[in-house]
Amino acid sequence: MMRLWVVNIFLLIAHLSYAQLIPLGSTWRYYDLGMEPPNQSSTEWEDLNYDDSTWDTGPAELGYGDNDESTVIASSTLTGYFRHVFTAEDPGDFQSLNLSLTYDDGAVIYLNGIERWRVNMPGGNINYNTFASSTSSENAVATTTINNFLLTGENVLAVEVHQRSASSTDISFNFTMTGVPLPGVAVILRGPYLQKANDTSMVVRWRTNLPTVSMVDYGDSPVSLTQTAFDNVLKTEHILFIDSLEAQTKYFYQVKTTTDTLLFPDSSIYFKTYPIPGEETPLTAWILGDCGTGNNNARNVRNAYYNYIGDQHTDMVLFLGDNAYNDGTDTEYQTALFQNMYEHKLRNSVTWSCLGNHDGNSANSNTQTGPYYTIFTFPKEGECGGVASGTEAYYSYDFGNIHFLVLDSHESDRSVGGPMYDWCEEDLMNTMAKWIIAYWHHPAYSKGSHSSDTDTQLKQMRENFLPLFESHGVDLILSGHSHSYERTFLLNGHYGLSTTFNTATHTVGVTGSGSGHQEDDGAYYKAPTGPESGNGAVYITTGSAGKTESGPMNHPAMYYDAVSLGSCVLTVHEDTLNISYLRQTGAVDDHFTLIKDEDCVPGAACSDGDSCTVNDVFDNYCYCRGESNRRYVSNSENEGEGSLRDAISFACEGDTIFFLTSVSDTIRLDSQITVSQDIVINASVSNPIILSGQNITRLFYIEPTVQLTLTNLTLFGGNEPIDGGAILNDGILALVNTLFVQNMQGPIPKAWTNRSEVLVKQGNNYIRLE
Amino acid sequence: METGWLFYLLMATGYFLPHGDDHEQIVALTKAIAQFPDSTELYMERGELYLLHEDPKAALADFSTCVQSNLINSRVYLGLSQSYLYLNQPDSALTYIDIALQLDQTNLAALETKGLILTQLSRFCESAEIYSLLSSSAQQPSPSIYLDASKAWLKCPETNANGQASLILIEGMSKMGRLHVLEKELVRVYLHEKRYEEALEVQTEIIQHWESKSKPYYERAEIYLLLGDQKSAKDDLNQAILSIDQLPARKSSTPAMVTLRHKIISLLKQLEG
Repeated sequence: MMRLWVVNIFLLIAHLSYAQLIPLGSTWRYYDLGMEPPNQSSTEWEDLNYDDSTWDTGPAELGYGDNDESTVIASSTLTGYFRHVFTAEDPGDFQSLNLSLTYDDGAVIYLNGIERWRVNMPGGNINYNTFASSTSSENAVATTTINNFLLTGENVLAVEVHQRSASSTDISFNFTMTGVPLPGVAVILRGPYLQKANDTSMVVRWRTNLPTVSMVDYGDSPVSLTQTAFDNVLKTEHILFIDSLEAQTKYFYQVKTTTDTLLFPDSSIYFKTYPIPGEETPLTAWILGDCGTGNNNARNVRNAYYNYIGDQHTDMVLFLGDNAYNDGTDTEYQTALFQNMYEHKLRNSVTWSCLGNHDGNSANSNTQTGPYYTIFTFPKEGECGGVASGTEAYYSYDFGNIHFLVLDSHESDRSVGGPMYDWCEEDLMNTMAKWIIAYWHHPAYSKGSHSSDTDTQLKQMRENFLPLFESHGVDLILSGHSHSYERTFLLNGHYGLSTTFNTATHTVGVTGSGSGHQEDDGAYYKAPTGPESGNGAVYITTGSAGKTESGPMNHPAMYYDAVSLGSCVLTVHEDTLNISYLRQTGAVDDHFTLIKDEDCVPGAACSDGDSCTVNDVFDNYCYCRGESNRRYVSNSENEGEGSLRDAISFACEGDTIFFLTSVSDTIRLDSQITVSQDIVINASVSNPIILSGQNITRLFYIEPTVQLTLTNLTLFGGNEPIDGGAILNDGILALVNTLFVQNMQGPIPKAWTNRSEVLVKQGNNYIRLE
Repeated sequence: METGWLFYLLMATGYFLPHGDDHEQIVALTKAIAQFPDSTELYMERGELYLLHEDPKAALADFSTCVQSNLINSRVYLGLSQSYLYLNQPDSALTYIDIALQLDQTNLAALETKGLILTQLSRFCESAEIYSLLSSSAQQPSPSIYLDASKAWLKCPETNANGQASLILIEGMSKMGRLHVLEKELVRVYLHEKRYEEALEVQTEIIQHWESKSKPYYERAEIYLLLGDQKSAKDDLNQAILSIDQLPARKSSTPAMVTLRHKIISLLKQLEG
């Protein structure tokens, strides 16, 4: 459904005609120590060369006292000092600069050390104690136009914001600066951003203020851009297709017209082609659901990822819909994605997206019209792998050995046998990829701000599409819509209401109902062949990259859920898929690992890495499992290989020790055996074993919390003057058909000393004194 | 003054606030309406949100208010029509969609809605005409428009509709390239019209173009059986099994492929038995 906001077109025009040099909400250095920042030799705080590295940093709006600040500064300061360093690569493009200041109560603005504008401040010298001329209104806005004083390269905009009086309770500061291009000079207003990548081609998109040719120089280093792609048709919305590229290769680039460079090359401006379909290549993807608020929530989530990923390349950014609130208009997209938001990442990572309901407010999937379809270029002819869908509403693509399906859960027909379903089935049938990942906006499982038990789109996607996906072995499904994070166990076969979910029957494998953490419950496992082949998928609702919204958060299919801001990081390398849920704080609050070992054959031998198990084999889910070890005593010696003492010392937790028939004599111990982990010593009824302390030693000491179970044994001649008898128990002693004969504490008969009072007796246990 | 008023309204409706879901927007609009009850634009906005929220009765009330207040535009009448359609009153929906189209003949959403209404009213010939018009009007029509048009043509009883169901699909493929959903529907249409040889021809092309050929072979075998050609059907079924066996193990052992294999073998046994 398309809703047009015709009334707001004037805003679009006003907002986008100029190049943003300092966007609203930018990050600033600030100084709030109740005094003017000290000079550095002769360099003053507003100068370009001033070292502000010790100042605090935070996004605008900065200030205190109004509870609307993104960054709260010290309320004790009368004057706040702010600096923002930015780069102007081609300042000659601008005839003037438009400044817009949000202030409370007065401010002085400097560009590269020289005062250029004074707002609500008295004339003459200004110092820390100078008060504003009058009380401003809350978050007053002032605008002006100044001459272009920009320097090529680094510039600094410095602002001091003053109180009206010492008793004033608030300071507010925010700022934007836009360059007004000279007549006839083209500048980039959006982008560049990357689309429709495959192993041999890339689409580079950008927007200019004036119609120009589309031209990109590219090459293997920023100083060697030896190749050029161009389109001579003059336009403002540039969609440049670059082909004949090498697979999995990094190309640096610059954006040009025939006469001017619009974006200069540097080490961060590059694109990297995808691997050849089918090749095993590591993947890193950043997943953003419902990110479109365009505010500091989204920026904090962004910053957390930037800190997390560092210099590592991100192969793709997946937008899970609702990319621009409230209606997915072009203006909203500008602030939600392209301006002071993800623009630096989108220059070198490929953007993919599915349609959200808010995007759908201004877009129509059946006619592929509206901003969403204008802004993005997706493969509808199967040109990035997969089957042609004929529409950008739903499509597929490959990254090496990973196949991605993108569905439209908002507006396209969701019925079984509908065009999207039929395409999906053919696409799944035809892909040979090892990993299959699907995403759409409305989650199949959620009890967040939307319920998958009641909401139409959510129910239909689960009931109609999940059986299809599961039958083709899809591994991971990503969605947004609910403004929270919810992550399931490894599921299979649940299409009903949340009340019908049963962990025992709807999770897959030994570890499927666990955390998926390799370090505790174990990773999730999927079998590539055998009776459980392809079974199991993890479903993630991650719709909190821009906002949070509470809900019941009680879907029983979830291993983990949280109402918190964050995004997900997906990595795939060979047999292993990892997801991390990254909070805006930088903390990783959830993660799991999914393993699909291509070499696994259920029933075949494997190694579970545990030396305490034997007969390790893959189960039907390709989880490698061994049996607890059975250790054998083969002789009646006091010590040495084959002895009982040796078997106990090499035993693992939970082991059972048996006696071979070759043990026909009494086992005579010279000293007691310490039992430090749970073991069972198990003789058979047909071959009863006698252990003797030879009246010189106790037989066993059991450490605290440890359980020793004795079965069908005779303990004979144990003697110890203190804590005497055959056994000293500080842990748990379990006796099954065990006979105690002639055990002593010095001269006094005593079968055992039990200090922990934990004693379990099963069957017939006798104590004989003779 | 005018600009300030507009500014306030936009603020109040959350336009400048980048937050908010449909429900929050409805709440904000309701507050704005309470403050400015004469602003019919606000009712229109809220009506559209109510439709998104699947609350057609509330939407209908808002759009009706717009009409009563003389806010006459295609958005209002499209909203009215869609509300009635939601409420399963296609006759009323048709009345209002026609007004919407009178006001804006190029409104693709209105054309699409009219096609849907006419289908609901079993007026398939008119529906087919509308979908065909939509497919030619839209710069980037989705496959579903051609499919809807074809299905409507197939149900149209008029004699001049003969062949239209397949033609519109062929037109779609000429515009969008080989799309399996259109090819598959074309086979279905040909079979429905008992044009078996043409169905075979399209199915053969599908086999040639698909990487995974097992299902297309199986489907062609079914066509051969309709033609009474058991030998060719058996050949195709054997080819289908061979195609599955040639797949990587992870592919051939998925539940979908295992099920397909069972179906093929079952059909083969029937033919051989």
